[in-house]
Amino acid sequence: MNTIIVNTTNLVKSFGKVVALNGLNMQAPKGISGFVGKNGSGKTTTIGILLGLIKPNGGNATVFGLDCWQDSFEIRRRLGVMHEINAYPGSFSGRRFLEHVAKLYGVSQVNQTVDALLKDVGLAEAKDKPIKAYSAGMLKRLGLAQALIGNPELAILDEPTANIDPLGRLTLLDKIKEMHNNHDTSFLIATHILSDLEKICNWLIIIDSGKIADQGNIHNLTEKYSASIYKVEVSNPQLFVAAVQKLGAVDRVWEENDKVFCKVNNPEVFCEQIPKIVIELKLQLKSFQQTLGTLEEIYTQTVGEKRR
Amino acid sequence: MSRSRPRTFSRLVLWEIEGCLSLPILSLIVASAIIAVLVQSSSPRDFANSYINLYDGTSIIFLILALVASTLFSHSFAGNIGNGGLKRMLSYPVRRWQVFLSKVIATTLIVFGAYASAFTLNLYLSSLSPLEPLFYVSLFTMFLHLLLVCTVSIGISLLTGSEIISTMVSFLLVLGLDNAFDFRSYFSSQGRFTYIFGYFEQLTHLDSFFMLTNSPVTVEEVAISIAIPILVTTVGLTTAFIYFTRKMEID
Repeated sequence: MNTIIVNTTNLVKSFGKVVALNGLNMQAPKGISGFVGKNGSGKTTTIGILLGLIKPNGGNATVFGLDCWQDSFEIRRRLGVMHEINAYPGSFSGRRFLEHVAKLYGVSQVNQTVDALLKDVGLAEAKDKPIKAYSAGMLKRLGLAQALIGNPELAILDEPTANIDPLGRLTLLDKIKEMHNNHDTSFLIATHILSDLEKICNWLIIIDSGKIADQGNIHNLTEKYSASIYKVEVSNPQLFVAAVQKLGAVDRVWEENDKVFCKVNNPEVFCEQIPKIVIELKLQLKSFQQTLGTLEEIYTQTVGEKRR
Repeated sequence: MSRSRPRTFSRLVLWEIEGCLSLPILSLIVASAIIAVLVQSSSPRDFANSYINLYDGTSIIFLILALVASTLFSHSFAGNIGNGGLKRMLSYPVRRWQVFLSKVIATTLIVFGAYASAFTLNLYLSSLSPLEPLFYVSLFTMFLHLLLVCTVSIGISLLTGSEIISTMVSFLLVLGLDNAFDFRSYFSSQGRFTYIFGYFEQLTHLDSFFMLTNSPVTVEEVAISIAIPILVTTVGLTTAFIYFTRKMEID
């Protein structure tokens, strides 16, 4: 595993009686990390703590090995942020706004840097328009540009592809990948759109109810969760489900589009038993295979939601 | 990409000023300032005593100033908390004290600049010399009133986080104080102005001064009139500053 740049240990945060984070132990290495979870699972609170905007009630959070509350200024010098809400000054032009941000980061060649960034994110033609005239996609691209000013070591992006068209999403994802490849910028991307993460991430963090449900290298997680799920197509799925549910090797069974999915805890026993059940119930076995894991499946399994 | 040492604070002040100047509300501020001054100067006196025009009608100026200032300060603080602008700003490499003070300084400069510029119309309208001391005394009192409104607006902005509530409550609070106390009370803006103006009038226009109060204004009275807004501002802004920089969580 690469160097860990974001690390939290037993992080706790409550707002009144609402517990937002409940002992969060999260690690994000260098590279592109996806940060997924349901609404209200604690993603934005975690980002707020990482930026020093929110003080945790307990535990520890570090970025680049620096304490997020005590050393937040140092941390913010080395990272860029794109918040979910596009709160940019509407009366400024995109160019003028980025110039101001560049000056705050102490960028010495402001004009060249801003022009290059605007070109990179595809806003070169709209650079002199007031921000209030920008579309949702343009605002997201402006947000990405301001997060990448000063070549940060880490860029935290909160829902970067929300509310933008498919082409805009692809462009944005390409830009993220390009920045990572060309400038070694790491990314922590909080999003609901799992298919986006699948395209670019190499590390996945799943948060649920203020705790980490699972985290790790995306390939390892895919293997881990795929290995335990089997897809079976038989002539009478209902009958098959009833029989399979009685097996001790199966944790969970569900039916989807006339296909039966089984989460198993003992693949060897399960594979032995399936032919016996099929013969015994006189069913026709059309297919029997391990599923190919997708992020959606990993996510569904880790947060324990029923897929029916 | 090379980096230089940023002069963050001055850049933030300039950014805030530029932000205020590009607001559509700015034209309203300037218009309100000019109207307030024109209303004030609508009662001409003889030339020898025309300085008294600086005193007449200032209650209108204080009223409109309170409305405009509470709107702008509430927009700068509560508005930015509500729309996520403050969260974005504090995610840049800036310190909280820099953001707080830049907002206070920029907004104060904009409002005071607009009103002071409009107030100079008085010099022309009342045929006063640019060296008329009571002109500067009036500006100073206006500045004290602005500081008071600034403190109230920022305090309520940080407490409520709502621009509309902050604007309304700040304005009504200042207006309520002015209405609850008469023009001889230290707790009304007009009362403080009367004491300060009256005291300096006695000093500078010995031959022809109007008695604004029942008796000559004493040093103690003028000191209290100056001390009250300064004290409220110092305590209020310091508390707001400490809360903003040490405690406040931006969610």
